[in-house]
Amino acid sequence: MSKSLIYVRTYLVRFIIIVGLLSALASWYLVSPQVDTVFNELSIWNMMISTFTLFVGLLTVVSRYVTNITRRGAFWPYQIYALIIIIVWIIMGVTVGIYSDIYQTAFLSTKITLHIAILGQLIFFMVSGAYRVFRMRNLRTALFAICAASVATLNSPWLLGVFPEADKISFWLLNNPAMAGQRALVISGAIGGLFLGFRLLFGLEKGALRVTEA
Amino acid sequence: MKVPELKSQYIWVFIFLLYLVPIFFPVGAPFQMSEITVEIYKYIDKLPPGSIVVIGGSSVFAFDLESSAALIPAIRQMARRGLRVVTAPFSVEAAQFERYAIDAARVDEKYGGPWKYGRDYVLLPYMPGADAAMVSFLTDVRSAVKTDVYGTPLDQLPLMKDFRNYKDIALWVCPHWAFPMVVRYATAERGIPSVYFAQAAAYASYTPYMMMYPGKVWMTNGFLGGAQYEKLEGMRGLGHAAIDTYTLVSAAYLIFIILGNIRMIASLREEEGGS
Amino acid sequence: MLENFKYIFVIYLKPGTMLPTLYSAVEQVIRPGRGFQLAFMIIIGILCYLSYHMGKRGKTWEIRPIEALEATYEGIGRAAEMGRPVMMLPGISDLGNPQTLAGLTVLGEVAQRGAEIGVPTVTSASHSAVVSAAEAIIRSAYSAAGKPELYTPGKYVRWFGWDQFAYAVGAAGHILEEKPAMIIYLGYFLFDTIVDAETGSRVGAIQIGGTIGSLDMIAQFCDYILIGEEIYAAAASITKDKMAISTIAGQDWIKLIVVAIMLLGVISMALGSKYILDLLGV
Repeated sequence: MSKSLIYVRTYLVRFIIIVGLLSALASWYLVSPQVDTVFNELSIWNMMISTFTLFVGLLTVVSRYVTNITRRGAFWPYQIYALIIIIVWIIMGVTVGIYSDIYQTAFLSTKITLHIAILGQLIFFMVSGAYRVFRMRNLRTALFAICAASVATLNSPWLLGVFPEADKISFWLLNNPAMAGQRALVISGAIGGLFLGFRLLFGLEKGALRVTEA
Repeated sequence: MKVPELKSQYIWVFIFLLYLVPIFFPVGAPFQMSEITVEIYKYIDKLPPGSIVVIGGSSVFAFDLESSAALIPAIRQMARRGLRVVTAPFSVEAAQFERYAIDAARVDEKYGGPWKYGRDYVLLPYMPGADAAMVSFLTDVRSAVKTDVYGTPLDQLPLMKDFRNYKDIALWVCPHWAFPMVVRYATAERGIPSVYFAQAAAYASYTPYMMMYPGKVWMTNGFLGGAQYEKLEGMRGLGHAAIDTYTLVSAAYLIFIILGNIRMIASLREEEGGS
Repeated sequence: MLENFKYIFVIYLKPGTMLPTLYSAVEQVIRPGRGFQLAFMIIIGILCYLSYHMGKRGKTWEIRPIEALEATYEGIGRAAEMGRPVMMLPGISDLGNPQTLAGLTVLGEVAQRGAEIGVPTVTSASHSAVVSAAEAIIRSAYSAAGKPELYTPGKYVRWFGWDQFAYAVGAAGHILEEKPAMIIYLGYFLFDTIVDAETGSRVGAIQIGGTIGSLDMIAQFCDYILIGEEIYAAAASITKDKMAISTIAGQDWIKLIVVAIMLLGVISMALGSKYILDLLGV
């Protein structure tokens, strides 16, 4: 890779990130109408660029599919179908509008129906997964199984009819040990994410996301 | 005693039958009323007629369907009490869901209901920008959005003449997964009471908000909360329809966990016997 | 903004007024309730640099053995024996999500190790940017393994759409078609894990999962799990890079500070004081 491209990929990107980062941090922490104005402007630019990348993404997908279709690669008929559906929906959205009755009906009848079907299917997998996984082989798995069974049943209508205080036990389980664990995950994940960001920013990342020299 | 390992397919067939049974033979499973659901109902009932309620947030339609079990009777209650509703979607599917929910509640005058579009309820379009869009909407509605979903300028809608910023909002109802955004910007920073008709999976995560903001944040719990709200409003809808299946499948979940452990104990004994 | 600094230049030297005056000056500049956050961010930056600097000076830290990572290496070997590929799913988010970045880091290393012993690594993504990144990563992995001629464009990465469930169903179909010996879920997942992990168990794959949010579903279906920030530690340690591992030490220092603040908060609340809450701006 030429040196100028390396400079663009590293230093220009870092400069942009630092400017954006500083304006976001300054706007969040400091009382300054000027910084707020800069940040609002950068946010609008960010939204515009995100919209632009939406089209770039669409072009990427179309080019991959067209290449595969012309080569008669794997699953090429499905890719023709996908391309046709993409075009039809774009034309429909642009012409009749996404808030029109036609679009709403089409959306509810297709995407939402399929979505709900998959969502409804999840319980099948969850029950078969529960049968297979929640086996009390040792203390850890026993606790895991007992907690899962407790939370699933303590909120169920049949148990609440017999034992009305059951949901309070479930409430306590969810709001104390479960919430503590969840918050620990979120806090540690946030700290880890910050450090990953630092590693990328300063070029410390040596994995697949490293800056390549060649 | 030899206990066979159940194949996943047999479990799925059994669950499918549990889905089908209540459709043909309604069980009519009883359920307990929750104090929090009653509190929400009473709070909405006490709002003065003409108060503006915002229904808004950000999420995916399929998940929000669970919230619609409670949202639809709530919209009926609001229509009955003479409240006014403005939808504030911060995701594309939220816009479609909110419109669907108001339509499904059958409160519009075209269905014989009391509400007239523009006077009693307004559908706003998707406002991109997530948190930034919400802050902008709360600070000045017209800075976030200029027209409704049909392209009508906001100043031409009678309801929107009384709605300028967060100070005009009496209650925020969120039927979407992204409730933390509402708690943060509407309730915590601006003191607007908020109600979340939660999906059961989200309820588990967000209940601390009720403890953090008592008297300002309330939540219902999935289809069960929906059935409770329907009972309070005197209607039978999605919540009631789901309770039978919910009852049967939650029992089946526990039974299969027990069966799995029985199978494990049996296989351990087989191994001991064999060795 | 400069007019807000007037208090700094007019400091009364009367006893008892200097600190309140300075405090007023700070309040004029920093948004209420966010002063502690800003100080904490600065501390994080300092500790991150400090850990990096200590690593550069030669200080080494050992990351405790992560069971899921050991299983990853074994899984690649198992895939070679069975003649089946390895599948790695980086989640349903875009490149802006740190979990996706951690997943892509692991993808690179797994793809490279697989390429060295003739095991193909397949993946799928829901965002087109991740598709492009994954393609580039797998191409680089084959080059780094010294086998660029084995790389076939378009063979290893599939796109299944931005929607969570479209991706879930697409990935499930991909799993049934490829029948991988090992599946690694490392990234941002929601309910799609349920569909994919159950399908993975049906084809007999070893499943390793790691995410921050929906860990309950990963835990229910996967054989090995990476809990919380272990995904970032795994992404750092799989590259065996000392500098990346040294920043993990910095992470642990921050966590100790967070735990200390939590303990102080609990003690202060128990004693009836809301000082820590006010300090945190809650």
